[in-house]
Amino acid sequence: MTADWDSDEPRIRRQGRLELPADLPNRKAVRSMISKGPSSVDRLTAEAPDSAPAAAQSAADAVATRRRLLGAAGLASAAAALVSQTASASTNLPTEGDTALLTAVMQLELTARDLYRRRLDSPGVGDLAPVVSVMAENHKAYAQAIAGHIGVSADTRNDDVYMSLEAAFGGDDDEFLAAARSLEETAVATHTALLKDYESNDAIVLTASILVIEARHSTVLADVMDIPLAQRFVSSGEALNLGDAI
Amino acid sequence: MDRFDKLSAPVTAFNLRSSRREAIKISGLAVTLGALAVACGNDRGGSADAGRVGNAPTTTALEAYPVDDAVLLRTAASLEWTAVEVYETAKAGGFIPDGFTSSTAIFLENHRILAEEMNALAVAAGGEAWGCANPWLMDRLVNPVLTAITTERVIDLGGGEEFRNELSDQEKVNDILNFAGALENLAVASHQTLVSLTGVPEVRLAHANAASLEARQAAELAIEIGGINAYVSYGLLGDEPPAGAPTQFAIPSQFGQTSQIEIKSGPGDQNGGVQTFTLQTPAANSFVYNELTCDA
Repeated sequence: MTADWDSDEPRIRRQGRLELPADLPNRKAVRSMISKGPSSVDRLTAEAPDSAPAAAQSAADAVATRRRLLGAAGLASAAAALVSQTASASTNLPTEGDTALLTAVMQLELTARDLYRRRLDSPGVGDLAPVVSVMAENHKAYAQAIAGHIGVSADTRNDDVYMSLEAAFGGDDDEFLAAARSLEETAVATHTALLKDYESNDAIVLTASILVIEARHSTVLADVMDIPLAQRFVSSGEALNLGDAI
Repeated sequence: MDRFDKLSAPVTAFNLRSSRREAIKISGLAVTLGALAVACGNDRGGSADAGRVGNAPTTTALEAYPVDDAVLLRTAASLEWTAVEVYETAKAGGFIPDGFTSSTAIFLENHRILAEEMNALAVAAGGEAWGCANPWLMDRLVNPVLTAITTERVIDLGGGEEFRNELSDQEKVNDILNFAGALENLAVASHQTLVSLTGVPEVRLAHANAASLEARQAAELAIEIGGINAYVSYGLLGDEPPAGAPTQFAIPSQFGQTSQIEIKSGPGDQNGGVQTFTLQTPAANSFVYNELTCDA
C-alpha cells in the first residue's frame, strides 16, 4: 500500500499545483507561474519535485534575470513544501502493521455478518428478525468501512470463527442469543485491545466508532436474554487472537 | 484671439488659479507616491494589532493554556462527576422512579469509578486530580435544563398578563430520565473522541473502555425507558416513527456518533414550544485546564 502511494506521481503533482506556499518571494502561486509562458523555470513546474534543484540551477546559469531567480527560488520552496506536506499526511494512512490488523478485523466483521444472516435464514428467528437484520447490516458496514480504509475488497471472512459458531446461530433461541452476545463481546474486546497497536489516527477513530455500537448490540442481546442487571455492564469477552496479524 | 494668441497673453487671474491647481496636483501626486513607497517598504513599523475605532478600552489577550493529556483526562473526570451530580440531584428530588433505582445506582457507581480512574491517569500524566463537576457544563447546560424541568415557566405577555405552565410530576420524571440518557450518550461520544486525541496507549484504552461501558449504560437506560421498541432506531429499520415512539434507542446509529445531541425539556410556552438544549463534546470552552481548580 505504501509503495502504491509513493509511486503515484500524478497525485503528488496534483497536490503541488494546489499548494500556495506562503513564502514564495514574489508572492505568486506556483499555478500562476505555469500560465506565464515560455520561461524554462515556468515549464519545470510540471515536472516531478526531484528535478526542482536542478531546475533552479539551470535557470540561474541561463539568463540571470531577477524574475527568473525569484521564480526558481519559489519553485524550490514549493517543492520543499510539497515534500513536507506529504510526510505529515502519511500519519493518517494505515501503516503495514495497521493494514495487517485491520484486514483480520475486517474478516471478523464479515464473519459476524454471515452468522447473523445464517440466523435470518433459520426458522427460529421469530420476532427478533428486524434486530438481527440491523446487526447483520451494521457488521457489514464495519467490514466495508475497514476495507475502504485499507484499500481492499470486503470479501473474505474468518472461516474458523464462522464454523465454530454456525451451529449455535442456527440453533434455538438460547443457543443463538448466547453465541451472538459472546461474539459481540469478543468483537468489542478485540477492537479495544487493538487500539494500543494502531499507528494511524484514522484506524483509531474508525475502531472507536465501531466498538461503542457493538457494546450496544451486546446490551440488547443481554436484555432479550434477561441477564441480571449487574452483569450487563461487565465486559465478558476476550480479545480474539488474530494469528499472524498480531 | 486665436489659439496662438493665448500663448503670448499676459498672466491673468485665470492663469494664476490654474498654476495653483497645478501645484496642488503635483504636491498631491508627490504625497501619494511617497505613501505608496512607504507602504511597499520592508521596514514598516507600528502596531500589528487590529484596527480600533473610538475611545475603546484596551484589550487583554487570552492566555494560551496548553491542552495536554492531563487536561483531557481532567475534562473526562469532570464529565463523570457531572453525571454523578445529575443522578444525585434527581435522586434527592424524587425524580428517579422505582423501576430505575437499581440501574441508576449502578450508573452512579460506575461514573464515580471512571472519574477516579481518569484522575489517576491525569496524575500520572503530570496533572492534578479533578474532583467536581464540569463548571462550564453545569452553568450552561445542567442547571438550565434542571431549572426548566423542575420550575414553573412564566412568560410576560404584556398588558399585565402572564402565561404560566409547569410539568406534571410524571412529565418531570420523564424529562429527567431523558436528560440522563442524553448525558450518557454525551459521555460515550466524549470518550470516543478522546480515544483519538491521546498518544498514550494506556490512556487510549481507558477511554475506549469507558466509552463501551457508558454505551452499555445508555443502551440499558433507553431500553428501560422505551421497552423493546427502543432496541433499534426507526431510521436503521427504515421506518417512520409512530406518534409516542421512543426518542432514545439502544442502537441509535450504525457507527458511534460524536455530533451534538439535542433534547427538549421543560414545559411549553403559550404556543406549545418547548425549550431545546444542546449537548456537545468537550472543546476549548469546556476543557478543564491545568490552571483551573474546583474552588475557583
